Amino acid sequence: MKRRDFILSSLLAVCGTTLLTGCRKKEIIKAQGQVAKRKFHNLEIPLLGFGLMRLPMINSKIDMIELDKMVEYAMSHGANYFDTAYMYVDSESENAAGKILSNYDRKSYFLADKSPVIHMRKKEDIHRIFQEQLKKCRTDYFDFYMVHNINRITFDTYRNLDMFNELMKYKEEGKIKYLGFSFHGTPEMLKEVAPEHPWDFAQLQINYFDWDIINAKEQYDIVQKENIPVIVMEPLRGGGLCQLSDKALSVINGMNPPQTPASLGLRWAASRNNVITVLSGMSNLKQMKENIATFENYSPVSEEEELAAKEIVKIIQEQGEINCTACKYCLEVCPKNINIPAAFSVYNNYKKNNESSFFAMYYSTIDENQRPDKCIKCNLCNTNCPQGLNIPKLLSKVDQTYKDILSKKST
Amino acid sequence: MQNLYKIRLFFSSVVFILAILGITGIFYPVKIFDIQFAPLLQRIIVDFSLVAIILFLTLITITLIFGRIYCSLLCPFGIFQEIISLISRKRNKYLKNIYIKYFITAIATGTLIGGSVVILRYIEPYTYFTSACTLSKTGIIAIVAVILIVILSGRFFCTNICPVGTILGIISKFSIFRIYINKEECLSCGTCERNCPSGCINADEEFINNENCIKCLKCINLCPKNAIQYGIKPKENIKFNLQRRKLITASAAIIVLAAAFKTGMGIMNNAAKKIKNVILPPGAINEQHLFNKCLNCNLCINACPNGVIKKADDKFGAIHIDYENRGYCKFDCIECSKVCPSGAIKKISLSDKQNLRIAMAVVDSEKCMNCGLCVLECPMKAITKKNDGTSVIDPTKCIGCGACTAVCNFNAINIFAVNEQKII
Repeated sequence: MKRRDFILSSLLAVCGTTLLTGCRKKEIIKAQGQVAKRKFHNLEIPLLGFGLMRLPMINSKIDMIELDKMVEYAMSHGANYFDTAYMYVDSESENAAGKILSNYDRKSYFLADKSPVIHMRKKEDIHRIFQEQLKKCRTDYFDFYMVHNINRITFDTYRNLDMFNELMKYKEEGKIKYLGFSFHGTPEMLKEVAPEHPWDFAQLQINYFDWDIINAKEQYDIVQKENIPVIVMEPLRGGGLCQLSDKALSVINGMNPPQTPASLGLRWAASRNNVITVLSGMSNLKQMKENIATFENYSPVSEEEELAAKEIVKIIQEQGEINCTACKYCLEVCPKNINIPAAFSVYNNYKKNNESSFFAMYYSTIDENQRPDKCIKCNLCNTNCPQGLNIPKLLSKVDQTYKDILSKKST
Repeated sequence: MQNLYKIRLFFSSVVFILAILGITGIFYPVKIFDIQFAPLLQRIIVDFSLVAIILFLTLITITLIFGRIYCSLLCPFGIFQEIISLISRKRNKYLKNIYIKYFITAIATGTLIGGSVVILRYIEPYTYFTSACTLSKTGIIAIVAVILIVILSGRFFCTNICPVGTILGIISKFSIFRIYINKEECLSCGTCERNCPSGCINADEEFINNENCIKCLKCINLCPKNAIQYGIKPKENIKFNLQRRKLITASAAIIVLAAAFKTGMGIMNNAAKKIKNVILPPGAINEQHLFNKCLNCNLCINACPNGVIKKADDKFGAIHIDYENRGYCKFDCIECSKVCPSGAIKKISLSDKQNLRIAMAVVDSEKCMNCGLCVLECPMKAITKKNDGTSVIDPTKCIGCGACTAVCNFNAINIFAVNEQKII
């Protein structure tokens, strides 16, 4: 063999092997503990779903290495439900999901995606975005697909474009297995939406705080009446129910078995009978390990725990916090790029422990161009807020608090 | 051969007249500013536009064939200097290359490629010309200085300061057509040296520096013996002669270029960090982009039919929109984006412009008298009258054109700048 041929053939061989190993799907090594499952049609859905909205970040980019580890951990523990959406993480969530999940066999996981109603102007948009989503997720079908965020703003668009029937075409083609909707509107609106079409499921915001205080119970009851199974989102209010004040923490401290704020919140949501799965937007491996441990030996909440949850709600209400879940939908539209979730979280932390010096310190970490005092009160954020907050008003409250604290300091 | 000079003069004056008409906004069908060197380079850096690349390569090829004819034929600032030198007939002398110009060029182009035009726009002939025509501060200072320079030593600016000229000069070192002295005919009378505006002819040694020669062809016209030729120079045995000083200069200039590149990136990222809250013309994306890419040529200012685009001032270092005196951004107009040669205002289509939010209108409910004039005026139909008579703006529809403030008699509508222009 000539030298040139030898080099050529060995190069080819190397290329071939790398290609082959690259193509091979990752194998899932089953860990000992498996998360609890619920039946949905003929599927076994894990009770804990991985929401891909609050992904681990490094320098404002998704930390793919950490995410890869998290997905591997979740898969090996049977938590193979992944929930992404067009708008999550600046439209990058789907790309990340596609990149990491395409390493696995498509049948080994469930993928949920959503059709962003807020971006829809005409019917073609629905199809254009659907195709884009398939491409980004590197798949040819979605197990679960939703009309994203029906609320008082998007309701008309959803109806006028007849989104259900447009998306039903894909269900008939098999590109969508189950079609549902995610909802952030009023119970009155839900009463219209739920019976309107034969939905396979509904995604609602259910947690022990919203249950009585806002209207989660009402919404749950309406959907249950229509026999639509529920997927729970925001079981911890975007982490808000994890960071409890010392007073609230004392309620769960002496519990048996011991509970963390997260485990209580997740188990509380999972204890509703009509629930298929509880989505949690975990942002690091530690949270994931904790949550999977919660569901490995899952038991519904006891009466004592129910009462404790009610107690915590009472305490939170007394503190006067803002009901922001840090979903960052407002950031997408804000023309002044004000860091609304950060401002609210600083304010909430202040309300939890009333430490004004901390407030000023954390407030100063927000970029000067993105502080609440830059708000022009255009109310654009309100149109996108799933929690229905009057954001400009709350921002001026935060700003006022900051100014008060500053003036107090100087005197 | 003598005719060449007259033909060149004719074309130069046509270009100059077109440039004057263009900058004043009277008549601009031949986009004379779109083929200027610096804006072309800028446009390639901004969005890698194919048209710009082709035009840019054409300029380079022309220079490679004919030498630096750009400076005497296409550059309006160069032609302006020629006009000045017509008035002041000054005797010139051969001038050696001054190496500082390479460093000036390295700094200016380095920062430009790094991402920021803030240095180039203060030493660049195209900007000087246009901003002088629009009576900007930089333009007036530059023009006074350059008139002095021209009176003192001809085209000193073109040959020893201007970064565009330096780049073209380096290229024209290798040009096919060059000006040379036919040594057999030459009497060494020195007419050419005295009249050469760029000081590149050495009559004693019968030698022409083609790097600095701007191909004005004056010498050909004046030579009593027709000894100066423009064409392919007959081959001579030139020894490859790289002097040590030249080598050091070249390597030092490259180092400066690299450093300037880094600085340019730094400037781009930091220049507009503090948001100035100015409204920008549609297509300018955000303050950082416009500040770092705008050459401040003020072409858009004269193109704007409503005159809302304002010159760079203390508040913001590049052009921006100000809705004072009831001005507003016309709904069916993209003149500024059409006219911008450098890509600082990106080319956008009319339908994109009509959905591009450049600002945000907010009604001050305390001042609003519910007259409803703005409701009629809003091109996006974003303002509606509620049942109780008050006007409300639908923020999802508002593009911030300012038509509502223009009609409001009570100053009840405030227009706020947005951080980033977005299509809604």
